[in-house]
Amino acid sequence: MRKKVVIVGHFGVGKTSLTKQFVSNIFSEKYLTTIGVNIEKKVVDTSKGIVNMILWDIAGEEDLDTIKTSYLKGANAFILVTDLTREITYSKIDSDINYMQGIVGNIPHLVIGNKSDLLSEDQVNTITNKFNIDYVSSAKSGKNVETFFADIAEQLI
Amino acid sequence: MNYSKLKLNFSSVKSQLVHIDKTGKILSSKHELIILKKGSHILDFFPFLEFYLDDFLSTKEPAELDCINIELDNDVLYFDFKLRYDDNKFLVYFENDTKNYLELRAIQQDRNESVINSEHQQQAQKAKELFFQKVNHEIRNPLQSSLGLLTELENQYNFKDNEYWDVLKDNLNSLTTITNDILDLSKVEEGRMKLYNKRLDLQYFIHQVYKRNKLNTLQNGNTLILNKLPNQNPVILIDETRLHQVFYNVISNANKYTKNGRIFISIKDIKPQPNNTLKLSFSIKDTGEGMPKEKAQDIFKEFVQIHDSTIPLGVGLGLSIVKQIVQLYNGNVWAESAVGIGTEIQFSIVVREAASLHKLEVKDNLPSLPLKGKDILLIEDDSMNALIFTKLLQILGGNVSIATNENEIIDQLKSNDIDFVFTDYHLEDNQTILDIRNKLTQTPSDAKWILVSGDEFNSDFLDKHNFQDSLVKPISLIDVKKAISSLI
Repeated sequence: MRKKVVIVGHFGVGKTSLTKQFVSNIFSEKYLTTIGVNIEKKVVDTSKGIVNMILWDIAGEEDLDTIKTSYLKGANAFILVTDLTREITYSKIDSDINYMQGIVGNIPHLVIGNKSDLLSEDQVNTITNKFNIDYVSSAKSGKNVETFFADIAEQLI
Repeated sequence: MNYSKLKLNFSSVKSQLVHIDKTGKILSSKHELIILKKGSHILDFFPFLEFYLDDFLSTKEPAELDCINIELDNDVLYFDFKLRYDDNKFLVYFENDTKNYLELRAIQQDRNESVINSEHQQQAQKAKELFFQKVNHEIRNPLQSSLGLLTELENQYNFKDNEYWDVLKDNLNSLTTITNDILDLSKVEEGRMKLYNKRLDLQYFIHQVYKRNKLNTLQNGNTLILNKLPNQNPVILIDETRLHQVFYNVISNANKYTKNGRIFISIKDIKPQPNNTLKLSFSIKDTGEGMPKEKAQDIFKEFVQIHDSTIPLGVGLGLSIVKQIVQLYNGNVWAESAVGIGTEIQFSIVVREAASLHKLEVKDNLPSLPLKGKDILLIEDDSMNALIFTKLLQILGGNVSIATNENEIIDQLKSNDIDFVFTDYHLEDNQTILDIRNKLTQTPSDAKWILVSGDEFNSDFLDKHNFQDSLVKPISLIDVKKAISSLI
């Protein structure tokens, strides 16, 4: 079962790092901006069966509505990645989700608060109590990366 | 993806046109950017097209995918893809545009890094402002109230020679000084420290500095000595509070590191400068423990303490505040020191000279109860501040009534012939005193209004809102005396 999962969010939030960590277990401290779309795949074994995930890691912009909608065509799920150290990236999660659903429909989705390793637990809790973030993660340490990708894979079956 | 099948030719060919049938099988391919075998399926080479191909083949609607990243031998190449139905043919056109996209990526990288840095700076600034607001409201205000209560208790009970009492008072004073230093430094760094220049008689001021600091230095067994002053005695325009802060911090520093010694205050020079300005040079010299010569300039850096001392000596902000204030007056500060001999801190400032015909009349001869018989309305919603301020006003002989909200203020002004109103700026329910004063136009009163706040207000603001003077918290008896001396 092949499923297209698009990964979106503000630039510099760590979409590519999360994808690389999930697909290849690698992490680089160096920030290299993505342009266009980087496509990866990974086979995920879920309790309900195997999912062949095609991950579309889309270049981040300041606003989601500037992303090329052609990249989103045929998406089966989307992951909205935010950076917990930059409020601007998670301050309008609800409207970002509405925007995405307006294009791809009501498909499974998750909101990730990345870079949790840079904040204290208290700081992370303050943010997650206020904003609709499904998972906090760290591409650097790998925290929750497998977990949230597995979650979205389960939702895809 | 089976990228090993791909073969690139960068030098001669940049694009390729592929003709496919209605099932996606390759019929022909022009150019050889990538060798595509006839009869194979287009998705074998470009599997990501699966999300577009079915629609394209069934509807013949064109589709475009720009800047697809394809990784080959650790290099990322960027391709644009177009699906077109033209001349009764299903066509897949793709172009290697790596060179242009790499240029674009470099530009975006710079922009993104710059925006992210700026965001982090803004957030840090916001967090810093929030922190200092909290320090101000949640630490400084209670400390100041506690100090006021302590003074009041001291007046009521005899705590002289009580060791515990002295420790308690010293600790509170020390905490208040540190808190004020931190807040002041943050103000200077953010360009928020405003200077309220007023006319000042220089020799009178220096005598005040001597009087106010003499007792403090005695506590360490030191003698504070005011050296012979020059004959000149200009009236200058300066923020007296800040200039006193400079002297206080330098003398306190000298006092910390001097035991049973002497501390000298001198006006070293008064030099006329262009545009009716004067360069004033001062010196505070002590006979204390001194420090290595090479470390003398480091004492003006933030959080620096040169002395390897075991006694608590603050956080090392006092002299950096001195430097900041002196620089606001286009001046300079430096230190000379020798271990075992002592330290001399000299500083200069450039100030405007006030017209010599208008020398200040310093009212040092106020009656002991200058507010006797005067009705005073104190507007203050913080009960502890109200208690302390009331005591101060009563010490000066005033009849004090207190109002905490709009209704009480109006009632008091209507029913009593109020002479002075001392008012806090922020009141209950997020109201400011300005909101309430706007509603007082139908309550005529000859009262003189004095604004009391943790912030400083300039004279334009005071004039505009008809305040006769202002006081900055924490309020001392001297501050109140000064304010009323010009109004009585």
